[in-house]
Amino acid sequence: MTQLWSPVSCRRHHLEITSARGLVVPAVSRAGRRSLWICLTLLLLAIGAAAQAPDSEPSGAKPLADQEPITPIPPPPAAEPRKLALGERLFGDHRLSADGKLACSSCHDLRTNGAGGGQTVAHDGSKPPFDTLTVFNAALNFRMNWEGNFRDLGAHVESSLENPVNMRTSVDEVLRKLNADPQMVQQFRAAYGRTPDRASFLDALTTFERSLLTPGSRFDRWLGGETSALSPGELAGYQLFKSLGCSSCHQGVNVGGNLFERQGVFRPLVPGKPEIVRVPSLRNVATTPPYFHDGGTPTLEEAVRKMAAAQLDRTLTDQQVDSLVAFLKTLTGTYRGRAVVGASQ
Amino acid sequence: MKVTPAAAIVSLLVLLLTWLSLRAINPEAELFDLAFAALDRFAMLESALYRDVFTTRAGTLRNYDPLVR
Repeated sequence: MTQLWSPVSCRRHHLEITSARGLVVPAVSRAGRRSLWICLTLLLLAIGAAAQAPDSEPSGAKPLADQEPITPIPPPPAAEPRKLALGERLFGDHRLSADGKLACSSCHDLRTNGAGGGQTVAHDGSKPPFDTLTVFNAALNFRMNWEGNFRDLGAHVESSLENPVNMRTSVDEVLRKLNADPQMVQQFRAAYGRTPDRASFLDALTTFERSLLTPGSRFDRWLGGETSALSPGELAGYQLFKSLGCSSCHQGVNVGGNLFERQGVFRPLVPGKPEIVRVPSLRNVATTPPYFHDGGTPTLEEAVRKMAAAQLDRTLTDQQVDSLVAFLKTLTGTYRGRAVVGASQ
Repeated sequence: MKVTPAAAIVSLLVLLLTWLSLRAINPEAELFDLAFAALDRFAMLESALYRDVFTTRAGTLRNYDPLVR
């Protein structure tokens, strides 16, 4: 009868051999002890190395891009240069308003922060109902406007042209003006192979808007592995940003702009409607005062304090506010190689 | 006498193969391929969406971008 091998039988057999040899330690056992000592030494070394790791590299200093709630801004998408140039020209064209006084660039200044700096006024000199949002990185938002009532840039462009507060025109009216300009017709022919029509006009403008991204912020560089891009204070501000819960709404590539949220959950934030807003992006936030959709908060410090109270029911200390503001300032990117700056600079 | 059956068999085979070859020609094959590729892509995106919804429910999705793109 064949006896099957098992650890028990093997062990019994080994014990029998050892007892037969008396007190002499078998060679196998000596080798086992040596292996044990080697293992223990390696284990101690590993524990020592693990204990020393935080000293050589500050905790949380090295980002793991896929572990962070914020992702870096990608480079602008590739676009046909002639369409891009046409879109840029249209963006600064005053014929896009009824009275020829306003262009897109009148309220979205690309030389500074892509917004109006709170100085945007209606055609009759009154204050518009909403503060002007920056056009930089707007293409990365999932909805347009404070109310998030437009799903794509084209629909938003059409609505902006028809806005009775400022542009007060229509796509058809603009096309009539553009078709009367031989130079513009020629540029459309070169880019689209036809005279200006609704599709080509909206495509040119939206192609240009999609190019208005501001990559290269210090925070994005840190996300990319450049650990020296952020100071310890700014990094502490980022950790606070996450631990307080700010990042539950302000996350993703645009640090916001990808969900709706009720404003004034715990305490009043901005009186009146809308009660539910599309969470604004925090990209370049340090350069885009005033804050909130009524444009009633002039400084970032005040905005941070109000947000913590209204949305998180937290009263921040001055140190916490400073820390968060230090982090938010690292979200300022670059446009065409130049850092985005505030409207007053 | 022996050549005739051989010629008949060869002719029959040629006819059969020609018929099979003609039957195999499908002018809409490329269209089918495109349609199947589109369906595959749709299925993949749907699966990715379900995955992201579940990870959101579990609280492990890092940000909401995958859900709104």
